Amino acid sequence: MTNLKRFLIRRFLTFIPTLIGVTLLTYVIAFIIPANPARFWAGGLKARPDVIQMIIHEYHLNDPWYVQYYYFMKGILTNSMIDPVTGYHVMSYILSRFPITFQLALFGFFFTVVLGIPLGIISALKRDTWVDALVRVWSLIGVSVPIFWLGYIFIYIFFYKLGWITIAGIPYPPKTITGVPIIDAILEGAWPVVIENIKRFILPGFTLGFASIGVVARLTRNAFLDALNSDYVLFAKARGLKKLRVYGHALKNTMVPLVTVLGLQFGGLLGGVPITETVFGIPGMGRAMVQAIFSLDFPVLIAGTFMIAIIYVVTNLIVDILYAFIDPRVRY
Amino acid sequence: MPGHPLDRLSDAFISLIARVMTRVNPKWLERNRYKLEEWRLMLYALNRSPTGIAGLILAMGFVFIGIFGPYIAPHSYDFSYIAATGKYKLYWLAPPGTGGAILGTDDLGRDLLSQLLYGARISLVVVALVLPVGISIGVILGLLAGYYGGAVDEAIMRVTDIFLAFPGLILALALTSALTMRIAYAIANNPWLTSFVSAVFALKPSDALNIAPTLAIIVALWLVWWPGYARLVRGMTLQQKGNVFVMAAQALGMSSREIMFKHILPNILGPLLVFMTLDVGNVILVEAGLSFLMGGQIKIPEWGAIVQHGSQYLVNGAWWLLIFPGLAILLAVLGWNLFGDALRDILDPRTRRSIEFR
Repeated sequence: MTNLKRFLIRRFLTFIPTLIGVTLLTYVIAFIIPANPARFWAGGLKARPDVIQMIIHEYHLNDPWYVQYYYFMKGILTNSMIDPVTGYHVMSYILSRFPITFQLALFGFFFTVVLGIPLGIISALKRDTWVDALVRVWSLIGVSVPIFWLGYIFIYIFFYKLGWITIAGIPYPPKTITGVPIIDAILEGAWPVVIENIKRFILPGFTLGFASIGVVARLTRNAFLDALNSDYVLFAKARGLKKLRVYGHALKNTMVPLVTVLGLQFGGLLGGVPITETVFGIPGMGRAMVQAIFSLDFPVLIAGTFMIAIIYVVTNLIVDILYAFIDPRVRY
Repeated sequence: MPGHPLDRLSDAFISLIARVMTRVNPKWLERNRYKLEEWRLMLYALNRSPTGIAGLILAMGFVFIGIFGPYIAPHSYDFSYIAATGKYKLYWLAPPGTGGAILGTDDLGRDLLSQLLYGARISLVVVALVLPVGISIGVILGLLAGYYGGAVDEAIMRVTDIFLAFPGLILALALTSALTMRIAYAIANNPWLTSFVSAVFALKPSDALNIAPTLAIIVALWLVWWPGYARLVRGMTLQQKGNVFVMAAQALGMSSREIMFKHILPNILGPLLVFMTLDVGNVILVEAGLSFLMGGQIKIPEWGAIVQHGSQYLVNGAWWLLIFPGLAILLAVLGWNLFGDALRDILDPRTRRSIEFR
């Protein structure tokens, strides 16, 4: 365990340059946009000169870039900076939208796991049959579909034509515990709110997870086949174990590569969030960042990328730690 | 190996290559006989993969329409039936098949089919400009990191990590909006750039400024695309570095550059080629996603922007404005993915055997 501790410390140390790099990069991009943010934040063409001066002073816009960057990061990390466009504290704004994005990613991840893994197992068991070929082509279609298009088709069918789902608002339970609506609703036992949440998030979740379902199915298939072809499975068969027990053994070893991919897919799902949230009008982090880009709302943009970078490095870390639990050969 | 109707076509193709190359360099055939034989086997394997053939047809179809689409389009991309005929009621969101509009019209009475055909050219140009640059940067950095190791590796990989931790779509979108104005200035100030850009994209010179967002997307994708390749190539270079032929080359005193590009690169070209093929689809998809998010800012017929524009008229029941452009994206991307998937099996000698003897 001391090794794990040392490993964790080392990993946390490598986070720091990555996070600084990501925010610095956003900062650089934000400030090569040829616009005058002070004037824009003060209200555009008719902005009063004294207000512009105030904003320049408030956000240190006349200082050298590294000083500006320092104040930006300080303001975001201590949550003392007020966003000039929305009027909220920048970090509170991003953090208030994070649970919704998280819930969307959970729905997407749910479909990925619940459909992807069984499809992969079936396709491995029925290797080289039409089932296998179908899953293969299906997974290729999955990564080829533009998700915004898929989203609109779902909206057209299930909202306009059938009216089964809702596409406005986020149903919140009466009390806030974790901030994620559906988890809170389940914890409080507010079942109507749970159902409302499912109706709101099931299609966005499926749309978001659509590509990963095929990817995970393909990977499960290959990993499961590798496991089935290994010596210990042959040994288990020779010992006369029941078929299901043999598959159980093989499945456990399939988990090792699968966990990596699932971890990466979760990160990938967060990457697809801006489009899905835009299509379904979900007020999450991705949409906030897209809007921030168009409204020159640099503080929100920097805080948002900072959050996503943290999520990315943390999921990678969790995957690495899970490794040690699943695969006894891995030691830190 | 059982015969296949396409095998004779493959034979003809291989002998054509042999004949052409002999014309160019008489000694070529002598030196590359085995390579040619391997290519023939690869083509045989491709013939036995129906999905691969389907993918190849779709992919080539995309390239063909990308090149010739603007010339076979029934109308110009900005042609409006409403403006031309004055029949507003007939051509406002006209369903497919109405009065000459095969795939219907949009809210301005523009012909959807023509827009899609012009859009194919834009997608093709984007792919052709993004991939070579993005891949070159990635491959060079990956080779350097993998071959030299140590501090070089550490520095390159840290930067790569930063880019990978960055949400790609957001990075590209931010870069796009940062660069659009600058590129528009550059186009407006250079008459030759105006005519060049509009010729490449097959659009009217009066629309040259509207191409600026697309050019910005291309530049943004250069920066987004290389990290994946850098990591991939670094890993493969590390594997190759341990091989005897690399040590032999080092012992012979070859320069590092020669070893990297003449001895390591050709050995990792196979998997790289598969990745590139699959990535063509990815570029089309990401570019469509970006132009979708930019939406109203894009005033040229890009597939993603057409979907975004059409989605506003779903309430009016104009399903064709949604289905057809999306289908165009899907088929183009799917073609490259199917082909790349088959290519992976074909280029890997182990799986190729199993296809040949199926």
